[in-house]
Amino acid sequence: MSILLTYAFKLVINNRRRSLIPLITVLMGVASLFLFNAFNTGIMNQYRDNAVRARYGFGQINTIGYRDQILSDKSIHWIQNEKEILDFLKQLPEVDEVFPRLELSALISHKNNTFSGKGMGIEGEKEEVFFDTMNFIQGRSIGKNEDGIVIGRGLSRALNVHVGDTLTLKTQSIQNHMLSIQVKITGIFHMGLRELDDAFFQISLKNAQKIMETDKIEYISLSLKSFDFWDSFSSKVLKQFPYLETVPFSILDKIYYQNAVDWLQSQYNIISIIILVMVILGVFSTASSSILERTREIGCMRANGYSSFEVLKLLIYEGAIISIVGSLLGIIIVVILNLTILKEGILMPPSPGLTRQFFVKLELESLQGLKAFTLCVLSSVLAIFFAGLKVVLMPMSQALRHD
Amino acid sequence: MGLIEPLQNGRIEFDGLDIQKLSETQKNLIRRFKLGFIFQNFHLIESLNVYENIEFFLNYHKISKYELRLRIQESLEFVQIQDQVHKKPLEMSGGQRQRLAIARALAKKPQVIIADEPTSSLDQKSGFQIMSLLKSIQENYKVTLIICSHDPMVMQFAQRLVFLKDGKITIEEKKS
Repeated sequence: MSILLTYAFKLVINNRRRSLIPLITVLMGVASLFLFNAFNTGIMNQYRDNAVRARYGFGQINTIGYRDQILSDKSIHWIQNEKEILDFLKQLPEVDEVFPRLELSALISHKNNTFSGKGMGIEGEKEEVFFDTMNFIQGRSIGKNEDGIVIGRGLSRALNVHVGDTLTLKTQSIQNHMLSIQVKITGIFHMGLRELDDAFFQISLKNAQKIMETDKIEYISLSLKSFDFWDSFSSKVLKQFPYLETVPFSILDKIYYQNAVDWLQSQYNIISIIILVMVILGVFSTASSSILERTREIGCMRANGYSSFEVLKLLIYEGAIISIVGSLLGIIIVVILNLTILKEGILMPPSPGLTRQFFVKLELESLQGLKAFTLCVLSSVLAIFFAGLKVVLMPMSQALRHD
Repeated sequence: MGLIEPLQNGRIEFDGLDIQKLSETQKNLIRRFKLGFIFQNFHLIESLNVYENIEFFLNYHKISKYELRLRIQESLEFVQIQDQVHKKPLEMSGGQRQRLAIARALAKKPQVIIADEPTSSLDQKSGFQIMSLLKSIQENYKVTLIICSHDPMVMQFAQRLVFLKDGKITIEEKKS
């Protein structure tokens, strides 16, 4: 190890008071960046898990262009060879479960009350295992009950119904017939999204196909073994069935999920800049005064043959040691906080579009820790470079006489 | 004279070299290897101990660790503070601090030591001891000592005296 580095260590350790304030500044900067990112990641992962397990799955398969085009008769583009596709999907190693679905709009009546709703036909028994975040406030999923229905809390209040009550669903089939069926409420959910709680319902796929007079399905939702498998899964499906398209949940939920991710990322970038500027100013201010205190010491070093560059190098070594230790402590403190008082997460008020409070767990990512560490170390070294530059370039005689 | 300030007038040669023609790097090298400094206010690094205060300034001397230790030991013994190795400057008296500053200059084995008011921060007794020490360094190490002082006591140790008034030489005398 170079003697300058050795002495930088000694000077930092022997001057604890001088080293403490920049160290705390860097520590706070790293901890803030790391915590803030963990909080954002926590929010987004929670939202992603909610979106995936409440509604979308990991994504869906439909015929090409089905989602993007305005179609006069959508049913023409529904999936016909459902069985062949489902069999293929089930044998893929990436796939955990498949959920064929058929969406429909219907008038929902109970006694004299009628409201319009938007729902989907599902295979209840399979879906209730995976889609487990629907937050039932009464009853449960339709499960095996082919004549069951689950509805949102807002809709249930409007219709003044409870679990066990019978509803009439009326819709126009693809053959242009007005058909109706009787279904029994098995559950009432509260997902926290008004658009879903006030109008959404689920019935069995068989009933949906019956009332729509079709044996086709609209799309297939998916559960994969990991988010990381989406690309390989997608390429296999498209190779086998070129007329299909695979759509990940981030596209399906673009308005809420992807836009929120992008928005939070931009917010994080702005706050990162503010925190880094604060670190630079904080370190610059404390380093300036402590380096100024050492002017005569620096003059003596130069009088004894150290060049300006070497003295600056020593100051930067000292700054780097302080900022590395400060950054490491910042990361350790955040990890400890996350394992102790923030273990259960942070209770947040309802976010835009949601109607219930939720806990955000801090999700610490090593890469983000490394990023916060690097940014703060570089920022403080930069601050020390500028703080030291003025003194090391001062004429030697002036430095030696400095009070 | 110590290559600390740029030359304003006249000409200074060091070791046959015109210092006005030297680059900053060459001057650094001379200050590093050939010149030793003793300052009025000692200019020690307060957060380092006695040993480290000397070692730090031998950084670029290409010597083995053994020789480094030997040099430091020898210079500390010469100035008689070898038992203070682990003390920090602030734990020492003014006289001891000046001895440390002398040891620091001595350990470099310079050709010339420049002392700026070496006794002015000391009492009469310590000042005399320091001057005796500098004299013995000059005799034992064959090093040129240039002392700048207002202290009349210092004159008795000098071989050559140059009196300056307002930047001009008024008297110059050489003792036999």
